[in-house]
Amino acid sequence: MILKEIYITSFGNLENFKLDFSKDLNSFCFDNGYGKTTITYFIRAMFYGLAKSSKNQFIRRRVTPFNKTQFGGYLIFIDNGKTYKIERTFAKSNADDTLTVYVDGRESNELGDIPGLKLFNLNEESFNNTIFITPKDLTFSADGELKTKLGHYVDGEDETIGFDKALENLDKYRKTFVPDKEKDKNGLIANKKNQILDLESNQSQLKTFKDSLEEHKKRYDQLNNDVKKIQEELSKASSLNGLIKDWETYDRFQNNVNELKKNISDINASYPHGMPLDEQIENIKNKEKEKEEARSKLNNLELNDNEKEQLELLKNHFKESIPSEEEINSLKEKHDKYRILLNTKEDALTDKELALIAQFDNKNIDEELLKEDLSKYRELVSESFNNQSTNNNKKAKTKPIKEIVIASISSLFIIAGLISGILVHPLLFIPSGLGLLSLFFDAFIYLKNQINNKVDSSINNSSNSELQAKRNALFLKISATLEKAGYTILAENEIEEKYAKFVADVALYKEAKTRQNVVNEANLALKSNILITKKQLEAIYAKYHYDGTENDNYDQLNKDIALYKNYIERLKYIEENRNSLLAKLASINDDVSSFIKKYEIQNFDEFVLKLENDKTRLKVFENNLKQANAELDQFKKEHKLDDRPVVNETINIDELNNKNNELNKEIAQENQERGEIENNIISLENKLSFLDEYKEQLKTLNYRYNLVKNTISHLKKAEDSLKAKYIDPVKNSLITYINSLEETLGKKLGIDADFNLYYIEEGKQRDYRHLSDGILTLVLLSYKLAILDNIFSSDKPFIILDDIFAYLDTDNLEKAKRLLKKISNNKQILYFTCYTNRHIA
Amino acid sequence: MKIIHAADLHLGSKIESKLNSISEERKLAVRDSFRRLIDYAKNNNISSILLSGDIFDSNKPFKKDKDYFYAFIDKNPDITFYYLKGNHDNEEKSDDNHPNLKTFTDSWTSYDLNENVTISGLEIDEKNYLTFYSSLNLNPKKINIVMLHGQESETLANNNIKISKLKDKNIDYLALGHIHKYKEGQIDHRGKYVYSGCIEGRGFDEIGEKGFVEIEIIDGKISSKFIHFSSRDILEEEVDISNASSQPDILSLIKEKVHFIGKDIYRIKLVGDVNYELEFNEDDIAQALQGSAYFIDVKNKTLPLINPDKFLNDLSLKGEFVRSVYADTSLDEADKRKIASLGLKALEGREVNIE
Repeated sequence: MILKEIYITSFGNLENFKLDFSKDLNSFCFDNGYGKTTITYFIRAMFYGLAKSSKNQFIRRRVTPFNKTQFGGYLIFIDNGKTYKIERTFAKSNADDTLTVYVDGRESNELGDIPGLKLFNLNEESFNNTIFITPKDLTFSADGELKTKLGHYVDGEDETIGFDKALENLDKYRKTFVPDKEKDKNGLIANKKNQILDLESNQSQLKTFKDSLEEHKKRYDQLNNDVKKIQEELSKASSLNGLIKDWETYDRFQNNVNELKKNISDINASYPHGMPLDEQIENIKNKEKEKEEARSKLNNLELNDNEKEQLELLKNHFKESIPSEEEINSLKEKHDKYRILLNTKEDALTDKELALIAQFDNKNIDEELLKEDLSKYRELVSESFNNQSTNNNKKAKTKPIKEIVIASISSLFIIAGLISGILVHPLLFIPSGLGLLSLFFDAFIYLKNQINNKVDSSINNSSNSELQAKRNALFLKISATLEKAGYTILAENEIEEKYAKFVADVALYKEAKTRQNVVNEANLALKSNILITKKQLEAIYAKYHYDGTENDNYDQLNKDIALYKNYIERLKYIEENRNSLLAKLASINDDVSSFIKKYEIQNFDEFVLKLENDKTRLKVFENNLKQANAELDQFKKEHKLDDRPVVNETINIDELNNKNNELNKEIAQENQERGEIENNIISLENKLSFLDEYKEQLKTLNYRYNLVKNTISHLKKAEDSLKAKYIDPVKNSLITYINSLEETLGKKLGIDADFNLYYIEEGKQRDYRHLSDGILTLVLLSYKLAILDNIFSSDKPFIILDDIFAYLDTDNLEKAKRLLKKISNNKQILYFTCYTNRHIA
Repeated sequence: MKIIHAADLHLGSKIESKLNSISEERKLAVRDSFRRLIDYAKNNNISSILLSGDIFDSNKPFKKDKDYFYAFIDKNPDITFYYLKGNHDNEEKSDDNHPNLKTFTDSWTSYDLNENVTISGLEIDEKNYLTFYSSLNLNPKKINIVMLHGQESETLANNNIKISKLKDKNIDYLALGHIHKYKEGQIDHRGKYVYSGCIEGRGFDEIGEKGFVEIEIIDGKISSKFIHFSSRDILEEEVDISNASSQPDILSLIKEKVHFIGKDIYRIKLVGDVNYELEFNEDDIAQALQGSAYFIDVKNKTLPLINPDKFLNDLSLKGEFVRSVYADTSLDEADKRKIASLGLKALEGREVNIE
């Protein structure tokens, strides 16, 4: 690979900066601060970018130009005949960085995201440690081991401490687990084992205590434990142990069945006559109800005290007899009659009749005489009438008909005019005014006619005065007579009317007088009837000892009869039914007693509760029995239990009892000791509680120890592998370089089998420590070049030397320059320095 | 009516060695849990306590533990204790008579709490473990509480309980012991089974809230609820520290994830893939967290983060070493990471150790 060109658009303090490279030695001399290091950063950044790492973060900050958010450039190189251009821009964050690769002028993905990785097959760190050579890589402190320096191969000195030191530290750590010497006594693992052994020794002690405690407890548990032990021994001793166990299980199943059967049997046994059916219980309950009802009926039949008292009173009323039906009917008739009579109103004259009787009784009016007088009077009136007819005619003529008509029409005019004037128009008052005038005129005409009539009358009166006197006398006589009868006549013209009234009233009077006689007779008869009926009723009531009023007595008697009859009926009914009820009660009692006796019932309700409970239990037991039988059969079938094994061994219980008795005697004393043993056990158990943890810790220690051993093993393996890959070839390559240095340095150098550097002086092999720093720098440079040769056997990349000869004196500097020129014959070298004297022209 | 269902007190039990520094307090707490249980019963007018096995940690309990237990029973005659032995204490037997202590045998034994409630129990052993299911007869008209001690299992074996075989047996509440964590499930349409769990945790294998079950029977209906009763809970929390770059970062991540309760006991498990360069120490972290809770144990379960691809083109010894480790097919991934991490640390001159 040959680097051709770099162009920096902007990177660090460089801007639009371009460098072209030749294929051999390229020596650049820039002033201090010009950007020498920046260029080396740029080249590396072109190949590897500025990926996110703390180191790169530092570089990114350092090369980010002031006031710029984007920076970068490109790099051109030739590899295997192709021209590559890597163009990158960088931003504040690597997420915004860009990369474009051109191969022979065309954009390509051939180099991937990290071109350096693809091109050199090195990660960024390895690239730094091989292709980049800094003064630090070539310096060597006085107390440092050159061998260590040479052994670093491609490791950055600032990041690793080297294989030997690492191995030493790991080994030291390993030895904390298992030291090489006295490994059985010291070290974490041995210590832990010892701790475990200590605890385990406690365990045996604990076991001793526990065994001892066990003994105490065994004794303390007396016979039961011993019997159990003996049973267990027996069980164990039997070769048919399994079968016995099965039979034991079978027996348990059978016991279940038997237990259930027993339970069922117990329940059934408590009902020697069988469990009464629900219907029977219901029947007994009904009987009890019937009994109660019969009792209640019996009680209801009997008369109570009030009723008895009442009956006695009634008996008193009806001690002679109870009124017969006829008697009662008769009484009812009489009572009804009496009531009707009492309610019958006496006949009476009307008020008119009474007034007529009062008017005419004892007045002594001679009707015939009055009739004659009236006749006479009529004649006189007739005469007078004839004399006065003319006057009367006149009077008739002067009747004011015309005036009345006129007055009426006038009045109509007045009213119509007034209404129209008010409602329609004032001019319409005029008809009212005309009507009024007409009315005044009519009045005048009427008054004038009246005055003329009066003058005519006075002339006729003087000619008939005699006839009038007679007439007046008779009129007075008739008037007086009629006055006596109550008819007052104020004028002659009333005579005929009053007389006619008189005649009619007299006729009515006579009729009233007749009716007065009839009424009086009827009322007398009524009173007599009432009296008779009352006496009859009183006689009947007295017979039955009632002394109240007729009405009260009647009602009471009827009520009492009904009541009395009811009592009689009831007494009869009682008499008839008492016996049948008593018989029924006796029958029920017999039935119930028979049931109770049969089932030996103390308390029927409790019996019913128990019966229900027993029936439920019986059902459960029967169900479970069914299940238990099925399980029993199944178990027997599954375990093929045909014949029960016979155990011939005999158990000596007495011997065991004696043994237990002996042990019992010791219990009190052992009990005392037991507390002490228990405390010891607790103490030991507390200690032993760590045993599992210690064992776990030992496991962890062993695990860690193996991890460390594995780590050491792999580290050694890696070292060997690295050596195989690089060290020997590097050593050979280095020897070639060193041999070639002889001419340049004027000294023969060499490296022994253990990578120790030496030089030959006066035919003797001398230690490298006598060599100057300058020579050692060149040796180290040769070493780096040897590594490069080894890594890149065919297509070798450029190398970048960052002012690596800063510490060389002039003599050695010249030697170094010569060396570089020589190397650059077959290697592209980019050499940067800031001093002209170190510049290689 | 209320009833307490408790189990697995394990009186006289050892405490996990990790809790060594607080083991005495823990032992006392385990023992005191029985006293507190009785106090709870008294304060809540509960006159029946069911103890479903493993009350003692040993078949042959220490005398002082026995004395303690039976003394509390004798001191509380108003409370009836129904003590069914478990696999740990199956040979336990009191030497004296305790009228308020009801015990069970290898056959079904029943006690009527009142006319409506019956408590039945049986101690499972190698002889009856097949047959005890079919010998259980319960009155369907009563509330039936059944006590057993054993492992819920589908297999019929000694100390196992096959719940499905207890279906349609008229059980209303199956009070179980053996599992140290509260658990409940349905037996059939009628009843459920309940493991009350232990009352106090004794190590990091008994984490979470511990307590007992309070059963209540009202108007013929039975119900139950878990009562969290442990004086201290033992809790385990996993904290992923993959993003930590220093020990203070780890502490921050722990404090962010875990809401410590001062009275409780914690195990913090550090997990995740961490940069192999990150150096920290479990004990230092535990020490830094002391005061946040009663006791804190820190367990490092992280793996070093190694990217072998990074070393593919590395010509250095580091590259060669990592490639060598990753090419070793006898190692698993975790070991590869640990070895690579240790070797890299050695090569970089860092402190060489394995956490």
